[in-house]
Amino acid sequence: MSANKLFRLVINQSTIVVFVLMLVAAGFLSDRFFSPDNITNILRQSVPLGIVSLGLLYVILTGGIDLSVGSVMALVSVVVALTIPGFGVAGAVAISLVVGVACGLVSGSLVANFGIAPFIATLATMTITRGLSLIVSKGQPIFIDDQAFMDFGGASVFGVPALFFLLIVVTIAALFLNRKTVFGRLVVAIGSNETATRFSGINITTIKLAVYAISGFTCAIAGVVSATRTGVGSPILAIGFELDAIAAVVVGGASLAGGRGTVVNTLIGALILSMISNLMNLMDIPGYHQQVVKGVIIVFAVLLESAKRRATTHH
Amino acid sequence: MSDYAIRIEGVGKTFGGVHALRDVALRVRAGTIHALVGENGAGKSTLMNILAGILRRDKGTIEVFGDPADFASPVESQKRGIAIIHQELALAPDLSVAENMFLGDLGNGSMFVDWKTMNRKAGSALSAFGFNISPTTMCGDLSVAYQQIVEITKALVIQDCRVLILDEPTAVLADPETDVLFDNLRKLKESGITIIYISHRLEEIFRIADAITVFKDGRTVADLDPRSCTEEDIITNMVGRRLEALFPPKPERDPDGDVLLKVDNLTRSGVLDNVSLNLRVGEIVGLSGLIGSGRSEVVRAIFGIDPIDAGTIEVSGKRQVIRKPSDAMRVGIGLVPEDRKRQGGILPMSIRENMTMTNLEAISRFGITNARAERRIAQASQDRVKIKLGALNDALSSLSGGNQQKVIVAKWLNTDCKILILDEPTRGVDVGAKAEIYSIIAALAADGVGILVISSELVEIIGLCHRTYVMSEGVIAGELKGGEMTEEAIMRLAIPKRRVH
Repeated sequence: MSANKLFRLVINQSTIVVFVLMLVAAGFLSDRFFSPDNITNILRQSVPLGIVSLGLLYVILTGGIDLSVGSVMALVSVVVALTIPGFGVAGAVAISLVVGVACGLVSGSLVANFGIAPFIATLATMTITRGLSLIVSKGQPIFIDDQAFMDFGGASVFGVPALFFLLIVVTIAALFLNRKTVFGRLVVAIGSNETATRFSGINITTIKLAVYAISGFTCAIAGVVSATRTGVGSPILAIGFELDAIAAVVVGGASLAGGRGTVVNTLIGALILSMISNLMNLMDIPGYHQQVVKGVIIVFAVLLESAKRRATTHH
Repeated sequence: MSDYAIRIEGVGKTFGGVHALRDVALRVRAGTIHALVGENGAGKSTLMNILAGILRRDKGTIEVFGDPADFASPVESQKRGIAIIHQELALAPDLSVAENMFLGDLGNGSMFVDWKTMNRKAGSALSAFGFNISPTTMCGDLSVAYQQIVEITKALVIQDCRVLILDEPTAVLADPETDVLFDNLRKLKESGITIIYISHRLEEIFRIADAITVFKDGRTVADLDPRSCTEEDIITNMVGRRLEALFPPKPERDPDGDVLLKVDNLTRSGVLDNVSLNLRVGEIVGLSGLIGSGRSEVVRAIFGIDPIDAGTIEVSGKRQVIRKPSDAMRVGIGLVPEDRKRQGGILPMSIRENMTMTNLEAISRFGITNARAERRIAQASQDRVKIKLGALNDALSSLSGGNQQKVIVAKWLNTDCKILILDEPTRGVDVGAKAEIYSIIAALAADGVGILVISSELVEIIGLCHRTYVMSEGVIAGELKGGEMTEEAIMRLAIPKRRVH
């Protein structure tokens, strides 16, 4: 392989390259990083962020944004905790997924049917769902008393957490939707050029509604996952989580203007962010400092992305 | 010292091989109103943009008040006393009149805004021209005519201009406002200002101009005196026979064939007024008119992009309500829109994906795409419209303009539409691709597709269409068939008439 080809490969796969470099660096910075316990820990921690980011990727691909992800997770965790006693685990999970999709449809409808800017529409949904979760829970955490439900959160298969398999399943589904379906293609088309897509006789409203519903659905899964891990339905769960999710998608190389972004890189983006948090904990970096480091890393990731775009458009 | 405010000799300008200006000569006497006329694309605006420092000439000489000039930027042109007022006004609607006038230097050299002085200066400048406009009014609250006055006052007072260029200033004005504008232009002329006036309305030119220069195909072809010439003289000079051998023979059609598309009394307030037209099987019908005459708006309304206030659309004898492009597509209408890059194609996506965008059912089952079916359809399209490309998986942006346009035509051929509307199908396309697009259009008509073509190029309408509608100011000004279609006849209908008061 020539140097030029290698260079181009590095540029094109920059997200993966950054990920590998970070893994190597992490190994040097902390000798506990590669211990089996810690790896399991990272994998488990990355699940909610990974799942939410994959749903959010669809919204961002259309050129939209979903700020309500953290609030929807909180509402769902409260709903699942409240409904397990009455409906059983399966019933409660089903209800939770419906609630998540319903929240997404509200945002989607505000954007697609009423033409409200996605930032504002989902800001409203974010505030409303956070309020609802506080009302429904009366502001108190709700403890879950169901052993089967709790066991899933801690279960492992061959040392890999069961929850991580869930993330893999969601990734495969997202990949399939993105690569193999008409829907996935139209999502990219809308983000690339909404006018031309509409002029091709495509019904934009339906597609936009659907991407927010997908985001609501993945938030619901993440909300249930959080509940199984902690055993609590918490109305103050995942405050500020939308920013982590947006960061993961952007670190994964997606464009907030829409049209550009891949499923695999988004997953890696989420893993990078989870890994950074974990590494800084291992290194005993205080929480306040961690935020600064995270911010700097996001800036570098985006700069790398724009440098890459410039490099590839010159050809 | 010369008598001429502006003297231009032998100026040329090319854009990537296209000659916008070939050899232009223009002499504008100081203190006169000089009108420029010509078809869309004849070169008037290009020349004015060169004069205003927005574009730079490739060759020739320009003198401003006897001194040679070569402007690298609008600021240099302004310093020499030239100001241009574009058709699209450049005022900030949420700022006051005074703020807009002093926008470049709000603080008058200091960091702080001296509101009192600024408002006083703006007020006295406006009243010097006899306008009672309060300098504290928000520009957005003014009528378009008064906004124009604000821009002109800004140019005259703040920039101290001596040559004022107006690009179709009356296109956005109602009649009483036009009268106000003309009174002021005459006043300005008396005070020694030179005015270059671009307009399509010949009647206005006779009212106000002291001299007329006619543009055609990037050349100045005649200098006329409005006191001695007639409208006929101007029109004859504007057009001319340039019919090239680009066009395929017109396909046979049955003049009494089935009506595919029948539009009745289509009305959209302020834009379209009772537009009626029809299109038969195998017919190629033109929709000509000047830019802004409502041509594109008609097809936008038919295709469900813009809402309509009144009127009906029948497709194959059946009345249809079309509210969005997907409705139009369902009843068999396709549209190749005027802006290829923004409306026609999705540039970053592949050629293949662009081609199948209108026919996703054919390449998928239960929403899952079938790569083989898609490749087959894309390959067939490529062969049908003869696109030169590297690979079907390349981005649409990798193709030349002509080939991009063929992809967009191909995507509608994939829908088997009965009616195909093409809005400026050959704009920005090289001659070879033009001829190929014409033969695709003729072949489609021979297959029975009804085709509606919008074009600013009269030759294209005459060479390609069986008949044409001509639009002017939102109405159908007339219809011309076969041999009646001449450049003069079309232009006569297209040029706005004296308005009924």
